[in-house]
Amino acid sequence: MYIDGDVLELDIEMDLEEVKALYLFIQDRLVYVEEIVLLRSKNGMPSTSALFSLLFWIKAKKPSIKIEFIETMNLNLEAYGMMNWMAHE
Amino acid sequence: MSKEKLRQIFIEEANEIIEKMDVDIINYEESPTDKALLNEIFRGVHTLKGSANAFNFVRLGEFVHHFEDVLDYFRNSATIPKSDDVDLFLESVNVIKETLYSEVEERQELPSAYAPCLAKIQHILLHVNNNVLVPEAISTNDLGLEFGNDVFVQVPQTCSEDDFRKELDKGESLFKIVLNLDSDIYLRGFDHFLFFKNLLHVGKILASYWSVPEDLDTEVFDVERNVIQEVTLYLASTHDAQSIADVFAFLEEEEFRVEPIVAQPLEVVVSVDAESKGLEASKNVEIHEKEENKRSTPVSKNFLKIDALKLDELFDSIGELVIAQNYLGENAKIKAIADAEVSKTIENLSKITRLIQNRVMGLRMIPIRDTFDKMKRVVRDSSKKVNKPIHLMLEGEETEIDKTMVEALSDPLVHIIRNAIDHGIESSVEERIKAGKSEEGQVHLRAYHRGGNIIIEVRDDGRGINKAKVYSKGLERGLVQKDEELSDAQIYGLIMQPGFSTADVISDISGRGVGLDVVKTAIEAVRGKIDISSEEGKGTTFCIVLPLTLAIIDGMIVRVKEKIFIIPTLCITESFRPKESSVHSAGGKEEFVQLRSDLLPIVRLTHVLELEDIHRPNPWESTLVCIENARGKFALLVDELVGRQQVVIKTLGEFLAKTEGVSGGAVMGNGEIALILNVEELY
Repeated sequence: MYIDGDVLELDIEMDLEEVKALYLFIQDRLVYVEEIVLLRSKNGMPSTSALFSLLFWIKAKKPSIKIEFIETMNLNLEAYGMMNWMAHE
Repeated sequence: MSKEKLRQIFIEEANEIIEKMDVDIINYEESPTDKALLNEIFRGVHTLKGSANAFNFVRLGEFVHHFEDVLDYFRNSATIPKSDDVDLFLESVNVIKETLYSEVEERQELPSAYAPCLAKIQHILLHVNNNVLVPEAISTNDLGLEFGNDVFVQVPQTCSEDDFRKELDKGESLFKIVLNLDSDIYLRGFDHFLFFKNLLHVGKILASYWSVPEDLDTEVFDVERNVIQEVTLYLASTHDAQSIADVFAFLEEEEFRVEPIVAQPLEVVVSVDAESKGLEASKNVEIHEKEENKRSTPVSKNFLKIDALKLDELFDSIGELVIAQNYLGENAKIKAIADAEVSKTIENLSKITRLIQNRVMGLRMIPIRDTFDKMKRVVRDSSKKVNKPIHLMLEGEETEIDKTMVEALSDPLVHIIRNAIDHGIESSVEERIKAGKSEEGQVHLRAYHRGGNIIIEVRDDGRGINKAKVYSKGLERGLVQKDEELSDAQIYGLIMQPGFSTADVISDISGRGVGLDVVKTAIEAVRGKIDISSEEGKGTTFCIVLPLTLAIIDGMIVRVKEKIFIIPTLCITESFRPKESSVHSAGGKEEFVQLRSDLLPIVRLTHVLELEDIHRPNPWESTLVCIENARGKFALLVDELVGRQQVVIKTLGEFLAKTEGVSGGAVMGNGEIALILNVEELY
């Protein structure tokens, strides 16, 4: 996790403990974070779906925040195929 | 499909819509700014209007048409409906219900409330048309388009299954896997991606579709709670469905589904056509196929309506299957065959039988939510009638209950709630404030599982039951003998005797003397019972205890004096053989056993069931089964634990049905009948 001005960079391989720490970290900083970028090393795969739930929660809390995969509602994970998101009422 | 069949479907669906409208309107009253909910109500009315007219139910169509206009006005304007408007909505639902009944019965006369209610609706419409309503306030949208896509908002461009099939290599098949993981998966050490990782050992993941709730921001977010409702993924694999399912071996059955995707039969037709008619034909068919795909893609049918009778028949057949399987497992001749293959096959059969049985039982289980939701209307109406403000709290709506029991539960629950509001809650706000309570009477409806039973509690914070008054009324009615000593529970039980009422004034909603005894009879008819507890000045709790299902239980078979009995396994917490030093006796009669920090009473089955007991075994020479019932834990003394088995409950007939401590019988593998113990009556 790295914050560069108003851009927060996250490692897609974060585990649940790291996501819990991210949740605590972001709550007070949501006001000035404008963009969240997911970084992925070669062959890097997500460890927990909680990361994505948290990102959707962040987006719901602050709709103006830019999170690229939420804008397109999909993310190509190569070995895990294309991840497509559907919002449910 | 015949017109009559279609008509039947319409009537069923109309009833469902009407029931839902009732609940939605009550919910809308609680959050009147929720336009989505108002849209939902409107959607129901709109559907009803279309179908009513299609079946020539003109009077229903006419009424619903005007009701729809009123709803449309509110959903397109900033005006928030007042309490009177909500009253009119609910009244309209009643009229719709009654009019539908009249139409189905082909009666000439209309319900008495039809004309007055329609007049009220027209009055509102007239008012808004003259004063407030501007043209755009009534929807000009194409409602068909508006309601075409109702549940999912699917943003990304998705591939069809045919596209995935094209990605398959030689020898690979396509599988659709649906994960519905519970909210506690992370705490259980699982994660969606853990399964993704493991799936790579059996195939290639082509794509996945993740469903997240839109309203995440309205909830308190908990990182450790999974909110992803459903994940569907497509896998290319050379393995079979079972090998893929093994990846999810540690999940609950309802948390995952693996479905092989087979090619559409249409493709077979294509090749025949193409061969016989050449390239031109093949082009035509391709277009036809694409159009077919376009049409079929959005219609993914996840639900199937089944006649409840057919389900009951299936359930009965499963019962017979369980008996037959038990017979195989217990048959001495089969047992004597010392062949590993035979034993393995019987064991396998047993597993499959249990699996089928669980799945079929699952088909009958539905959440109690709908029944609870209906109670909102009951509370609202009762509260208005007796002019007492009431706050209803619901808890445990997800608790699943056998469908048959839902039907049997609804009326008793209505009566108990009405009774709580009418008699339980204090007559005036002043009286409540004087008693140090909130202005609103509190009614708490709760469902949960306990020891193999489903418990439904109705608790109020009213004045409680006046024990002395109930007792004297019991004496007056001859229900109690003078000087007869009764426990609190027995005294409260008197109010469920036929004709018993302590109400000084007979009100419109309860206290008519035909109340709680009917409730008691209805609950007992589904092998349930009602316990009442009360504290004067603080409130009363009606506790309905229902069996989980009416047909099959998982039982522990025990032997007492060469007789076999069955104890429902869910009531058993443990079994043990005590040391002599941990067994105590009080006055030479009562026996107790020390189990860790608890001192449990010992109950001898021979004593409760009045069995011959010449040789009275010592507890330290027997087995004690620790059982939990409504009153707490006790230790049941048995000679031996024989084993655990699924048994089909059979009723015992009128004569034996009243036997204390016994709830039914079961046919055992050897053909003998064993009695199923009713643990609530043992101690």
